[in-house]
Amino acid sequence: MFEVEVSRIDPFRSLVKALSVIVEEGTFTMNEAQLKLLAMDPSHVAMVDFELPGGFFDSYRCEGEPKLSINIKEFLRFLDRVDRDEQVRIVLNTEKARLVIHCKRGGHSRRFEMPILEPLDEEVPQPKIFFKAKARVTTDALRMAIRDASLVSEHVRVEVEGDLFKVNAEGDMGSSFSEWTRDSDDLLELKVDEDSSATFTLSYLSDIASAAGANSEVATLELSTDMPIKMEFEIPQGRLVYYLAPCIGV
Amino acid sequence: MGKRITTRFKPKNVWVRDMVEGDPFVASSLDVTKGMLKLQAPKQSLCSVCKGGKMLCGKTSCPIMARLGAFSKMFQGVKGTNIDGSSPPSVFVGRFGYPYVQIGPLTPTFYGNTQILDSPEQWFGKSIDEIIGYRSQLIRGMTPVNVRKPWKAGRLLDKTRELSLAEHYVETEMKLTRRPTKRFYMNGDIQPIGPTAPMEDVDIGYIRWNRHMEKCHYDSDLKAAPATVKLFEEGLPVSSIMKAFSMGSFGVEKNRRLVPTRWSITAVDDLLGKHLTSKIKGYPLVNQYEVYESNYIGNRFEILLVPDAWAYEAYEAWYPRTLWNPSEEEVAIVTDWEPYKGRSTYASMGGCYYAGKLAVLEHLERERRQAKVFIFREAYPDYILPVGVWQVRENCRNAMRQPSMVFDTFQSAINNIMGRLSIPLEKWMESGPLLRHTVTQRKLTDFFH
Repeated sequence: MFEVEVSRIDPFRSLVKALSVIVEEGTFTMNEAQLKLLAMDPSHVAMVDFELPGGFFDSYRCEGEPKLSINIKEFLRFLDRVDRDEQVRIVLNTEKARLVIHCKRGGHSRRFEMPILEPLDEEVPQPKIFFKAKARVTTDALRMAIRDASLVSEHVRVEVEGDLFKVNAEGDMGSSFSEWTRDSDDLLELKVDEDSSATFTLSYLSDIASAAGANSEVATLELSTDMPIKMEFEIPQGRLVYYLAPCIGV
Repeated sequence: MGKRITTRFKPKNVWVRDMVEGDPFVASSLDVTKGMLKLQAPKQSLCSVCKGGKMLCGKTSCPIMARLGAFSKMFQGVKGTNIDGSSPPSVFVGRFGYPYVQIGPLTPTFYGNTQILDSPEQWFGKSIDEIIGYRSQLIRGMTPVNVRKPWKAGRLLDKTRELSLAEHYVETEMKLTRRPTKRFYMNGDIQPIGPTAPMEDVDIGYIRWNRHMEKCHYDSDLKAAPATVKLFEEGLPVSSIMKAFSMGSFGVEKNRRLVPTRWSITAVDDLLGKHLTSKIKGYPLVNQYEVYESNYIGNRFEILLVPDAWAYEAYEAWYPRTLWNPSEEEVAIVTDWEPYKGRSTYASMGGCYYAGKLAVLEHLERERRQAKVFIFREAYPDYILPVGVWQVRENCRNAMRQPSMVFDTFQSAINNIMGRLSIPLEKWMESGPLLRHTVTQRKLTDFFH
């Protein structure tokens, strides 16, 4: 049994959207306190680790530890139909294998039902990496740097060197460089055990930065040379972390 | 004392006389008197210097001579303005002047089982001369139609549409308004097609529709895309679906319209490709790196399946002095790709992209597997004239029918492929984003255990 209620759909929809850039079909696990999703994209290049406590919702009721597998894109299409001032109640109906979305405004109520999928038996590996460098930046600054990079290349290099945090890209059409020193208002924190740098595919990074950035003001990036990057987006409640595998030999 | 000159005139059809000197068969069958055969060559074309003998264009045999032979043979059967014979069945919808296009049936001048004349599925393995022969034998009647108001063409349209739904060859009689023009373009780059003339009337003999197509045709609430998919799953050849599709036989009643043949081929390839893509995304990955190959009429295809989520990239390399690459020295590589989510714009390389994709997807669907797919194509100078997109589809299908070569690593698989291709790996990598991405991108599973 799983049932949540939310009076403003926007923050929730925006979080689901942030998941949808990585996950096509995902399995949520719920318990009495929170709902969780740990999933990779189809080609196993990116991963999202998502937790949302029950307190995010106006009411949260969950018995046992049910699992919910859905097509996230489809779920988002239903959520897009919900109006801003509607009261929403989402219920998992395990008998009919349906996820039911009730919307209510005054005397008018609507109901959407979408099928739930067989839980995927794919095992998602637990990320275990020791990072050598850490930078806490505003998501706006990060998004701008990524947009700059997309002018010239398909790849972007993220680098922490001494007191500098850099996002660079080089391509046939030219190059783009962004650098932040510790004085910058956008760079809130910089911790360096060892100079580190890694290259990532821009399309993944820009999808993540724009979808997750809509939920969050500040992101913490952790990296090691030629290792996956960890990007933790600070959201008011819960946890939104992405991992992205690097490109080597670009 | 010099000879007295009575008349002076310019010789007509010098062209042909020069060209066919060495070929008594063609020479004897051509009527080269004035007004009977028109020949047109582009200005400053190499052909006027070469005359089919010196191979100046770099191809291994002369495409014009190949077409000319078939052309003259076909005209022996044309007498007057009534054309009768067994249509394979075959129909054509032109694309010039869209939405006002020329449509009509195609028929040869003889009876019997002519099915092979318009069944690309059966053409694989035939020589290029045979294929030119098939295509050139069909005479096309035509009548102008507005694609959105096809009923205005009345009887002519109804009969043509009936032909497109037939499941066997059909006796067809066309009454043309004039004799088909014996115009022959001296241009090596155009597809071999038979002659054309405006059509006054058409009659067809006994006809039996394919029952699956009939069902979709009369279902005026079934959209065209699901109808296409349904017919494909019933096992109809793609070429038959295309014919019916081009005649606007499917779709919601008020939206039905004619689709130029050339567009309908790619439309059907793409529709089926999208359908199969969504299916194979649910299947497990291939176990290893698989390589398939096929080589036919100057086109070599190397197909690589990578155990990874679905994505697709196609390459075409045109050798210098081949069809779409008139350059003297440089090889031209054309490429396009799509990520897991698919693409929303038309692939720049055209119909070949979709035809190749369909062939590989059919294989993945049969095997219930998912893979990241690369198609490498090299076109050599012995691909003397374009035969149509079917060549790509059938060539790839043939590749997928062969036993696969299996490799454990990407490097060994790609090395195997490059051993047979003459363009080095760096050149392919330069032009293809997905190949570059595959080589450099690591996976999270490499780091987390």
